[in-house]
Amino acid sequence: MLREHNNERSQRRGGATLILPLVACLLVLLIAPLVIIIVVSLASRGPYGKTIYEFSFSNYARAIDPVYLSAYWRTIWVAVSTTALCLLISYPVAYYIALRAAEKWKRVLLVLVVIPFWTSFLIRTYAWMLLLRSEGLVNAALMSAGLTGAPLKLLYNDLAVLVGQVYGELPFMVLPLYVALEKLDVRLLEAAEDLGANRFWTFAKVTLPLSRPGLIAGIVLVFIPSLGAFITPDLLGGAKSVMIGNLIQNQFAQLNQPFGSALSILLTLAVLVLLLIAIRSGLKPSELA
Amino acid sequence: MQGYEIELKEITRRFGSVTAVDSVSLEVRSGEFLTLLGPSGCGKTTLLRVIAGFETPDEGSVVLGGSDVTLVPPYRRNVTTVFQHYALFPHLDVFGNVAFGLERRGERRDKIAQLVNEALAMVRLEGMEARKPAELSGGQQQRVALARALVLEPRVLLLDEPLAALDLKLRKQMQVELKRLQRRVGISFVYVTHDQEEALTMSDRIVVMNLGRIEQTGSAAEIYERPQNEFVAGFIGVSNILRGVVESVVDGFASIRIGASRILVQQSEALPDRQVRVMIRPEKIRFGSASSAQPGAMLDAKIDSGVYLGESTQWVVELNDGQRLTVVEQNDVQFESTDGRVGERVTIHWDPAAALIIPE
Repeated sequence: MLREHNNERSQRRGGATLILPLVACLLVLLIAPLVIIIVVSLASRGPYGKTIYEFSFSNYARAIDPVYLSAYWRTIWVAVSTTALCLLISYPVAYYIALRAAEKWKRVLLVLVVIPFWTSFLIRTYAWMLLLRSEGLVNAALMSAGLTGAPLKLLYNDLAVLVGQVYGELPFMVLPLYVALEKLDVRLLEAAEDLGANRFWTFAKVTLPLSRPGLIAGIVLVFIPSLGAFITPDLLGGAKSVMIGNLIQNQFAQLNQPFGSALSILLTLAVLVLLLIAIRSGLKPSELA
Repeated sequence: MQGYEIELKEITRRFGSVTAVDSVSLEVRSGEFLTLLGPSGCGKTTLLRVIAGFETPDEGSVVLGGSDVTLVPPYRRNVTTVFQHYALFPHLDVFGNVAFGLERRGERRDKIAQLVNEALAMVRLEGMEARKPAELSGGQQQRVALARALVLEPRVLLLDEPLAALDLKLRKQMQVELKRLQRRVGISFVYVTHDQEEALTMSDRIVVMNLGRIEQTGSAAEIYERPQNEFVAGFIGVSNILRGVVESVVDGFASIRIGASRILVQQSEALPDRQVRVMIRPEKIRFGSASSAQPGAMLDAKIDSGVYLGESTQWVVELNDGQRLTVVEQNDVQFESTDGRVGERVTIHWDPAAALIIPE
């Protein structure tokens, strides 16, 4: 009995040793940089980009300057639109793969969803530039079809940013929705039909509510990275298509690390608040994995 | 109207090369408790799904309340189903589950509340409205499924092995309750089971199925006492099948030779074959002396083995020609031991009406 007890104890101690590498990684790679950024965000910029450690909240005060409002506003609407479009496109896809596709095709279709990850996001965004520019494939096709006389301005605007974002985030919506719908008990759909529900009613009252975990996970996985997007607006957006991500990047490029840090901290806080809301509305952290 | 709720006309349903239901015709009468009984894979569940509308028959037609519904989708058929694993909606509470069909029909809120409460009272689940299915026991989930299906006042209630997941004691209790409920609501129940005891307990009529076909239709007593073939005789209860040779059919009795003995079995018509099979249920056979037996309804045997079952003892006896019979003896006197009687020579006898010739 006593020995058993000791055994359990030493096992527990062994368990603690096992997570040590992780704890070390988190400390060095997450906590430490965060602390540094918080400290820097309270400092101020000296001449030639030197960081002067005289602590004040002036960077945070500057963040609410109306000059930046358009970037905030654009960030929110791009993130919201990206999420909404991803949802609209992904749900039918995930539904088809999970509930309609033949068993042998499911795996193939899932691989197709994930295949874009084999290439870097940067390169895939360059590919969109090639497609959308004036002499690009899309314009060439439109012109040869006679649909337009002169090339359309498809690149360097907010719409191009949205296209790039939706394209990039799509798999992050499809996969959690697929997982949720795959778990759906099809006998429940039969039960609904048996009780008089047609397809629409069955979807609205059974399928949709039961895929809620996937919906929340997908929304979180798409919306939050969209808030911090900077590659797509940088490459596909015009001079005016600045989002918070670009703003932060610019501050670091212009050697205004304190202001960039303050913006980063504000964005992080916004994301944390959103995550808390998501968890409150039923998101389980394990569903994001 | 002929008083039929459902008429199935030569229904055939194939899955690939397998014929699950093979040209089955069947009527369900108003207010009857009809059981589809058979081993797994006999087509009973497929037949039920054809009635519900989940399967479209390859041939034949389904008539519900006088109108052909063969191609009508399930949600427009006035039948509801209690599913084998209940299929309760996990995201809805008990009230939401029972109200599901009523809300679909667009009933008024207060009417829905009233009907749901009545249905829950009927299955004795008052006060459980706010529970989620996961918080209920198997028996309670079963009742929710019943209430959910009955609240829509279907023309026919379909039940697909609804008691299979419950433990024995609860199952027995629910059998009685289901039967009582069916009498009370007065609608036809079509009940699918592989459990012959369940079928005998509850049904007005039993349809015995095997390999996609109907073997026999009749009341519990008809099925048990007068099985029309060896499959039915073997599937319902324990049966003894004796092989013998017909010597003559005279005055409504066939004289059949079994080994060196002769027995008489009721038989009015001439038999096509000389080789026949005779069925006698184990509980209808008694031990006794030649004097207590009626002529032609007795055989000499030797006790081979016995199993004590509490209320009864199940003996296996061997006839002179080597055929074996099971005899169930009620333990109405103090029981001592089975060992003492093994090897004993006995005379077995039965009421002449208890023996039955089973056609090929």
